[in-house]
Amino acid sequence: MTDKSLEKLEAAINFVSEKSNFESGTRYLETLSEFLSSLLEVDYVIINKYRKENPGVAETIAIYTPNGLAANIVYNLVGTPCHNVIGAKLCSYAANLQQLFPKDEFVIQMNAESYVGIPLWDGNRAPIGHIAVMHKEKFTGIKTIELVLKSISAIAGREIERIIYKSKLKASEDRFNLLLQSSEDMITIHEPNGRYIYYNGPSCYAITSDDIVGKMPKDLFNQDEANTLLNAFEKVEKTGKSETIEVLLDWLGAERWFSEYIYPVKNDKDEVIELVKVCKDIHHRKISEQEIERQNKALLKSEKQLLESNEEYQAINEELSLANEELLLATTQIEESEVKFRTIFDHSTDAIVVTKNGRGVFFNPAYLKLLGYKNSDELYGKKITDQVVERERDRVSKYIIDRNTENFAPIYYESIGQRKNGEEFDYEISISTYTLANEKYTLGIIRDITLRKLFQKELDAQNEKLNELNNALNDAQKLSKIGSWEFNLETFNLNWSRETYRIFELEETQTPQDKLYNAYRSKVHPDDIPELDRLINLTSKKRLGYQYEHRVLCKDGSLKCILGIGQPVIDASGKVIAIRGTAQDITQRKLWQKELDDQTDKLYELNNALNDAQKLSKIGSWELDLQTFELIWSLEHYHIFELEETSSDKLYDAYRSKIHPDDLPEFDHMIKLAVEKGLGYEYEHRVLCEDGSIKYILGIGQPLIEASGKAIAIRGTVQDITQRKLFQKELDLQNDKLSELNNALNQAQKLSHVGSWQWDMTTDTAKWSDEMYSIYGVTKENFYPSSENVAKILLPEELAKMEKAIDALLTGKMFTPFEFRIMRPSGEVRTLYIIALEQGAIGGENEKIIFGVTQDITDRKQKEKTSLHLAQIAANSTDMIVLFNLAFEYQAANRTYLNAFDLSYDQLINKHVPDLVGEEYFKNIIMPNVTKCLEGADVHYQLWFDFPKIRKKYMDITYSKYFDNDGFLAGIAINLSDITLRKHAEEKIIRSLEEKELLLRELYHRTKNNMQVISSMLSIQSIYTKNDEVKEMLGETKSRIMGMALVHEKLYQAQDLSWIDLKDYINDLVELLKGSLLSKISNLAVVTNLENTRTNIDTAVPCGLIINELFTNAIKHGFPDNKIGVIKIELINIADEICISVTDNGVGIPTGLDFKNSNSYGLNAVIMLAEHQLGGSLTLNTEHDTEFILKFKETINVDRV
Amino acid sequence: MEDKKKILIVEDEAINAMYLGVLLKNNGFESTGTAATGESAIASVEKDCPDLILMDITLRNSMDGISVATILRKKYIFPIIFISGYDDKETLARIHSITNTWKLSKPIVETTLIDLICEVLAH
Repeated sequence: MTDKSLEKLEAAINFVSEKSNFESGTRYLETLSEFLSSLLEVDYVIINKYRKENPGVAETIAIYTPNGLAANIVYNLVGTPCHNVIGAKLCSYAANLQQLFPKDEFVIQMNAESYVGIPLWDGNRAPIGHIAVMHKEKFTGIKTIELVLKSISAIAGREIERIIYKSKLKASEDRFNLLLQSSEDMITIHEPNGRYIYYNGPSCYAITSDDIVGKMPKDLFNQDEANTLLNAFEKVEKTGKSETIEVLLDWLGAERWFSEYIYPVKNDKDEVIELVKVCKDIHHRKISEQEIERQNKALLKSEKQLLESNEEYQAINEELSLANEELLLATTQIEESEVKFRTIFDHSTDAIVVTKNGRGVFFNPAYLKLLGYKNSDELYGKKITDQVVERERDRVSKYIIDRNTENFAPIYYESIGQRKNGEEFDYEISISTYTLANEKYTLGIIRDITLRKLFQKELDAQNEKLNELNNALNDAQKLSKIGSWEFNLETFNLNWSRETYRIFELEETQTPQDKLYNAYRSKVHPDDIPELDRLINLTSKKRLGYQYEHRVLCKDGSLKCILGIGQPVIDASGKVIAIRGTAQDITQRKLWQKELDDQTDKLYELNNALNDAQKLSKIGSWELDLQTFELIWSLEHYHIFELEETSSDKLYDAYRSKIHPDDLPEFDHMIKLAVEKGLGYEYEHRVLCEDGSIKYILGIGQPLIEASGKAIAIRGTVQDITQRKLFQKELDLQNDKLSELNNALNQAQKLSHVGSWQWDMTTDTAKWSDEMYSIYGVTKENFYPSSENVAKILLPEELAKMEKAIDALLTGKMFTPFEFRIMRPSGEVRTLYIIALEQGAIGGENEKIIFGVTQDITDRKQKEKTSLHLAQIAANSTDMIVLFNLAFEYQAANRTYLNAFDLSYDQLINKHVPDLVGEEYFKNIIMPNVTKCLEGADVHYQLWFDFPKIRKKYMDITYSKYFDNDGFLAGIAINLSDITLRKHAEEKIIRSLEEKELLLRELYHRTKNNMQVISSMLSIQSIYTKNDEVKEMLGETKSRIMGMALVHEKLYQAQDLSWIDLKDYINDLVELLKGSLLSKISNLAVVTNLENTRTNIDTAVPCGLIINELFTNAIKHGFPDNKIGVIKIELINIADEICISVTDNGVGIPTGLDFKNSNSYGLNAVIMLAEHQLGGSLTLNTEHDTEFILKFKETINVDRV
Repeated sequence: MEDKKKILIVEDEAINAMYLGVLLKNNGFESTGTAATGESAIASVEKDCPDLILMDITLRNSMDGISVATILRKKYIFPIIFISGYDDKETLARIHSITNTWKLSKPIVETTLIDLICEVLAH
């Protein structure tokens, strides 16, 4: 290598390494071409790239000519030196370029003499273009050129690749932009922090790119919406996966649904650099989705409802099925409820009376006791007012009348009753009414309040006395005289007032002041002196005042009670200098007080007694002073309201707080009326108890009105009537239940074909339920259910049974339920079952009435009978019958089955099916068949089965579903019938049939062969004979025989060996005849028109013979002198007749010839065959051509097969 | 004039064989004889090497005609025309498995047979 070439190479390498100094792409390659031209001192440098779609065409990127850069061109490489460069190595032509490539216009235009081309490769070593260097003269230093080109080829290749990619990129960008701009979706590109950097601005939205780009979501949406968006961005950025959210945005003042599809744009390091968001308006979709969802919900709901109603329906069904049980239950419950009532009535301490139209119909023991009667008969039906004192009767009667006429009448009042012995007593009564069987009844609960009244009277009297005493005390107080005194502590002088002297029974004149204290002390009861001294001392020393009661000994020996009050007198220095005080004779007061205390105690006792009384009757009393608004309650009142005794001013509020809130308005109203209008009242309200229960209270208020007519107080009582209420409620409940039960009973009777009846033994009258009539097949209108009439419907043989039963009832013996049969007026015989349920209570009005039920059990009987028969049939069947449930456990099997498996019944039952028949048989045979059976398909198959005991048997097996008594699918029943013998017989028959078929086939074959032999014999004879007439006769006979042989051949080939198709046969026969008569028919056309006709051998043979004769005749006589003509053979079926015709258009038969009476053997044979053998007819029609028509019915020969 | 073509008749029914012989003779062919069994047929072929065989399929007390043809075909290529009443599929399939064979059903039509022989031999 020369220095110069080294220099050039160095320069080239420098150029390449300084690539970064230049622009890239096309510009760079242009620079490169210029550089190469000057470096290599060549005229032309061309840098090309190949078209991707057609690598045979190059596109220049840079052409450097002596005149500088030239315009780029596209040229076909074929025929140019460049063509050899594609995908090859460096290629050089040092000289004679134009001679070498005479077709290369460019080479010639450029006047190039020499050429070096170097291929350029892309990153994947695929040819991408080339650099061609050309010179107008021979190259000097071609090696250097080659070296330099090699050194720059790599970078040039990369640069071209880059250009290609760039243009691709631009195309894809253009496409992308077009897509973006034409999209109706809002497509935005965001920085990862959410900032908008692109918006495609679809025309349908009223915002432009300028409104959005550069902004953050919070600039465009409210806080919540922006956060939703930013959270989605963050998620996409974090996970690198796309995300779709559906948002409700505030869009131009209205809420609209949008779907936001966000996906990440990543760089080569897999970092998310941008986020693209496609926002689609899905408002309509969303709304319809919501609508669909709403409808779905509604649908679900209605489905649910449907299900529920289904369930209800089922529940009803179940209920109905339980109706029978309910019938029994109903009866028991009726009994129970009656017992319950009786107990309540009989044991109630309150007197209870039930009246109807004011006359007593029921009285409980407490009532009788209260009124002094021994039994209810004495009162039954009598006016209830008879038990009220005469003076009260009008009032009570009015109440009763008002109540009965739906007018207002108090439900709670007090009155005075009259016992049987005339004694009077106070009572209170609480009334309720009810309707039973359209009759109005009144129930009264009565309480004796004589004692209470008494106590109340006593209380009033005591109160009056107390008042008097108080007045007396007041007078005494007025009269009382109080003495005063002063005791000087320095002089010990005692100054007394005159009253004081009088109190202490000392003479003022006789006692000097200095002696007075001692005199006074001497008067004081010795027991009280120490205390007196102590107090005086205390007062003087401690300056405390005192009040002291002490006794004074009177001259007459009695004791006076003195109240002494002392008060120290203190000087300026604080020293006690004297004691001043009063003394009061309180003897009388003390006495009065004692009297008062005694009285109070008595009152207290009385009060207690009253309280006790109230407690017993749960009646509390109260009084409200309307002037002072002081409220006083009895103890029981507190007790009823569960309140502690409390001060009067708070009591009313405490009371109100206990009242049930719903009852408060009414309560307040009543109180207001009482206070303002002086009206009495009576009301019920509820009270909330501590334990959460509710008490019912009956409150009665009566204002106390003074002479002026002004209410000064309200007095009243409260009574806990919870118990009573409960009874009443219980009563209502029981009544409701009773009517419900009655309904259920009717329903149950209908369903279970049970009718109920009552029969009055004494009058032989009966009441029947509706169902009874339908059981007996009679109607209410035409049948009266007396025992005599019933007996007429009974089957005569059942009469004795019925009479016995009636006898038992009449004589009070045990009645045994029994079955009997009747014949309905329609003639239908039914089996009935009768039960006498109960007799009315002895001594009661129903004593002679029997209650009972009758059930129509015909269907049940029939079913029992049928199932018994079926069971017998199954048990004794020679078929094996086995039942297994859906868990494949044996449930039942008959003896035949058990014998086959050599098992006892117990060994089989509940055994798992595969354990008995083997897992494989179970899996492959039983399972699929059970599935088929459950799907409702008929399962019936036959197979060999190896039984443990009876060994291999061929079984005919049938599967069927079986159902339990309730009609539910219970399992599969399999019937296995042993058909081994039948199978053997069948096989034998098939074998024998096959043998016979073979024999028959062979027979046909041999017959045909024999005929063939006969035919051959005739042929040989014909050949040997010289006589033409004989020859002809032999030929005809041969034809006849061959015709018959053909039948056998057809039969031999036929499937079932007895039937052949006449069409096939006639076709072959005609061919055969044509063959044998070939010399005579060259002038004739034979036309056939044949229908498929199935016939047996006995029909086919005569048909063949007839056709043979007619056809041969036609040929022989119809066409003399080689006359041209047509012979037509037709076979058609008209209804059940087969019609064969042979027609020729030859000369026709001689006139006057009676074909039925000719001398021709052939014609005679044809007539015989047609009429005698086939039972048909042969006619001749010479109207146009000569046409023989054979008609016959196939049936004549059918039974000969 | 050309040499008469030699035809071997294999047929167990003597009358049929005779008839075929007369028929061939009258139509200008030379019968190399008749064979009633498969074995005699093979022996006859070994001896006379016919130009064609007319072969019945059922041959009493012998292998059937098709078996004979199968054996002969291993050594000889002359055409064989089967004449038989058997037209079942199995038989036809067996016949077709042997090259250069034809089949005519009984009863034969003389002209058909002669035409077929002429045609077969012309090949």
